[in-house]
Amino acid sequence: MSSSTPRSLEVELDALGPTALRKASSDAGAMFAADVSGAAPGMIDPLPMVVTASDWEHLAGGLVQRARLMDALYADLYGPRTVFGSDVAPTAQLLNDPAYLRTAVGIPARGSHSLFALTCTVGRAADGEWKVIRDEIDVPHGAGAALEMRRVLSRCAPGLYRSTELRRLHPFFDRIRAALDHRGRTDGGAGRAVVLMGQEENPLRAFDHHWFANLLGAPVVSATDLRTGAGSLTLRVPGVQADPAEAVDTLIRLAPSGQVDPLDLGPTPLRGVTGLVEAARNGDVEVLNPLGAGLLENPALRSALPDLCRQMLHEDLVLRSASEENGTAWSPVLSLDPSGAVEPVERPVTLQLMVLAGHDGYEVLPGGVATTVDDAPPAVKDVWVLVPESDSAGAAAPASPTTVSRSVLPAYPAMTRSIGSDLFWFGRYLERVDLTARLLRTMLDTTNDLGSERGSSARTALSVLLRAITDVTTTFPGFHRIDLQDAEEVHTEIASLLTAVDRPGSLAQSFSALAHTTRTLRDLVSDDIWPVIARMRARIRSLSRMESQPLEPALTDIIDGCLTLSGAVTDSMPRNIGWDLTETGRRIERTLGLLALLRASLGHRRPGASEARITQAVAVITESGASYRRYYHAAVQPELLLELLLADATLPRSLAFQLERLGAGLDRLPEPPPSPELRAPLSALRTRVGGWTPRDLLRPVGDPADDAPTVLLDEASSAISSLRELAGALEDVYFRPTESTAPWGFDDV
Amino acid sequence: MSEQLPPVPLRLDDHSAVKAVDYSVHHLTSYTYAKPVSRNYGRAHVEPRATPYQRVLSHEVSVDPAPARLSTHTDFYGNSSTYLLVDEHHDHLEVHSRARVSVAERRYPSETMSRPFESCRPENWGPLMPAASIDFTQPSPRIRTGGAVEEIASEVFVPERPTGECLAHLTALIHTDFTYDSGATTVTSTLEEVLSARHGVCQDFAHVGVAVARSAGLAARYVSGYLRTARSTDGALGTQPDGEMVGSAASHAWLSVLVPGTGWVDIDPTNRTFVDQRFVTTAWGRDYTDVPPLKGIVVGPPGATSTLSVAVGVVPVSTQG
Repeated sequence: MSSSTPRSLEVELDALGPTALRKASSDAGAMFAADVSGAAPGMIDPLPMVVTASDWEHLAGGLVQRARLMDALYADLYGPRTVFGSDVAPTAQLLNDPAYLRTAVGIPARGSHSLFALTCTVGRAADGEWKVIRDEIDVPHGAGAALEMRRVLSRCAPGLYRSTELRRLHPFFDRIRAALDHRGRTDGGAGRAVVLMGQEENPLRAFDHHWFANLLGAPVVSATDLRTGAGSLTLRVPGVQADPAEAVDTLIRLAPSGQVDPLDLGPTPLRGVTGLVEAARNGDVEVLNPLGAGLLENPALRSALPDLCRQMLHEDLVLRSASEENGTAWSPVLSLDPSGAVEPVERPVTLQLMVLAGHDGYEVLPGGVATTVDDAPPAVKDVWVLVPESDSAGAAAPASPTTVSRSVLPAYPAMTRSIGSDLFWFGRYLERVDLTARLLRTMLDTTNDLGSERGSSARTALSVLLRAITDVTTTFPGFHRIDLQDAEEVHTEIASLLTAVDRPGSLAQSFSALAHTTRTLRDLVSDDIWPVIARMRARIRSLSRMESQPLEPALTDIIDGCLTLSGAVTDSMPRNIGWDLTETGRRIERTLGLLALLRASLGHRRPGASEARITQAVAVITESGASYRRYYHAAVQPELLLELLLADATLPRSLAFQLERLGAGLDRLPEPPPSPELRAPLSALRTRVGGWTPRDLLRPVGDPADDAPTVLLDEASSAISSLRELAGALEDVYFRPTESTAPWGFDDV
Repeated sequence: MSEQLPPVPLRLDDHSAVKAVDYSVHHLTSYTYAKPVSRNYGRAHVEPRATPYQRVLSHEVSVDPAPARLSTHTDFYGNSSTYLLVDEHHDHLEVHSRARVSVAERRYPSETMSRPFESCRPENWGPLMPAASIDFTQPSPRIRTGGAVEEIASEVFVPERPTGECLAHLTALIHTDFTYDSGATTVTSTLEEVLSARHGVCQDFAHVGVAVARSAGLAARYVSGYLRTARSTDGALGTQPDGEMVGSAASHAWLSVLVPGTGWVDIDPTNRTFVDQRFVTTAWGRDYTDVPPLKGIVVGPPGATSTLSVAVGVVPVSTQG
């Protein structure tokens, strides 16, 4: 065992034994993947990378010095640039680095330092010397991943975490948050900080950024949520104009520098917050890390750090830089055998650590993620920093975190536009997934029932149901264009509806869109939804192997997932504008689905026998069978079912119920100055629906032959149009800027 | 070929008295929008800057409609950089830059200009040259060396050839081998496109010159400015070139090459001349992207179209005035 492994941990590891460790590893991996919506960057190895208190003191001291040096370099390179005059600076390489954003030169810092956070990857060479392998400064990361690793392992291998006293991670962020707040209040600011996210496609990185924002107590915003003005940076909230009194004081930038201001940092692609550089230059807002900090990652600069440290700090550099390629043998630590053998082995690791600006200078997060760097598939580990034995009684824990009096805490608008939009679409996709799964399940049930019958009524009913699926999911031409007697073709279309992730309207696509909207909602909805989403994703993936299994249980699991999500939202979401937007989205989608279903199933006259079957299926899809039987004690008839689905306001899938909720939701939304485009479609819809009677709707238009269209066909279509108009207007008013942004003069002579 | 052309005149220092010329400069850029727009952000490099040959007596940028913010700072290269924000609905945007400058005649010491051009390379700069000048020897967003650039460089920068001769040749060669595209109003073409089509506007020619000089190992920068528009002193704003020079009545561009001992020597390939008292300098950088005269981002209804017009007046004024 390595010398740093504490005795108490050794004992616990022996007690656990290899089987339990393997189980902890796979449990932690599954939990991590569910939380993050993406796999861990390697096998999660419960054997920690242990750093003793004295090793940590040295390493952290070196990292703090590195942060101070980088900070001094930033201040000079984006200020007076005196360093270019020195012999030791790699002047040519720095000037030739695209990360050197000349337009960001001269932006003042609001404190004694410019840099807020750095991510350093370190390794320990064979001689015991720590070296820095990689610096990530433009967009630092790692805090969220570190906390997640600690979270899943302490749950999956609790014995290990009880065995040994190690430095905790959360108190660290209490101090950082207080320092950040203090910094945001200089110059009379309210200390309001927001986190600007980029277009992060890597799920782990996006997760990490969201958690980091959460730890800093700052809401996540996207570039479209921010607007620069004459003297402030303000948040754009759904529907209403931003209040300049609610200006943002600090922008934690987790988007690459080059993408945050199309005016001064480059117009292609045209995104970011126009005028942000100037806002920072004028001190309206402080951007952290400051713009262009990526220059500090320059390889030549990293090599020159020993000389620059002497010159700028008058100190010797504690931690040398190592390049990623030079093949240094990093010291190994006790690890699970990647080949699966029982006995642990030693594997070389590197550590990803994060340095942040505190109140009294830089501090290193006492923990992180270690990654193996041998030829075997990588494993990731928790980094344990031991509490010094002398003060294991808790002296290492800081004094109680700085608290801010409640009355001066900055107020944040409840919602930004992009998040409001995601909540609205979360509601819509949740209903869409639910209805699609219900439709397909009922259709399969009906197929099984009818399979034994060869009668024409059974065939007609099945055809109508299949085409209803196409209509409701708007996956045209779908079943309208194929021979419904051809089992092979029908089967292929069903498979596509289940699994074609690129096909709008398919179950897989709707689910993927649902999951996508949740990515920005991390701190707004219950954490318990992530495992649910992970299970649903796995289930939908399993559908592509549908030959090997019955489909009904899978669809039931998806419906189960929808019910759980619905419950989690209902039971945990604050009843504010976010709730109203989610609710509005759900009601719109559910109404659209119901109208499309009724139109497809009852929009034409059918022979009595097939009509009964169709009506029965509609009752199942809309969960109205039980109510129907309670009311009518009779076989399901179209007219009576329609009565129920249109008018019974107690039935949560009825039209009356949707319109009541939709109206109430819209009434609660903050409304910008008169928006007839919102009110008109809703009242048109209400008037139309108010005039409906089931008997009239089912009357044939013209010749009362079989297959003749009924009044319902056109009426439902008109209602659907009004509803789509309402949904479009809602998006326009609340989320989508009705204006476009265009560059001019960039290439004019 | 360019060798047969009359030499590009270069004034060498003859110690005679040099009288400065004062100019009144007025640069107006205006956009008219088909539909009112709601916000407009702009970044301008339109204020003349101080140079060893140019004093700025006064300058002012004004914007119509009244801007919510109009601020100016000195940028990385020492240029004046102006930010403007119009935060109300508007159907036109006018940006005026008005300045008074005094331009002295440029004389270059014959001794340094007749040294081999290799003496201008960084390894011969000596210890007192600002290290950051190396910036202008490297590739930049619009400037890449190699290929056609290298061919021109090997024709112009012949080993041991005097610097003055090289620069005169470079100026003449671009003027002769490239066709001025008076119809073109944009510089969206890349350096490669300009080199293969052999035509462009003054900005393109400046880029070619910069690329060739850097390819020969010299420090070269892109210079943005104006040309004297007319001999008249009535102060009228020109919208048509006066026939005397190409590139007047609009913003102009040329290049400048670092000659140790002499300083930065400016040449204008578009007009086949060394830069003299007819030129007013506003800004310089590695290439066009560092110093576009005026660019911005407009926020408004989708598809709002705009009409651009530019007028520049650079008129000599009496020094007594």
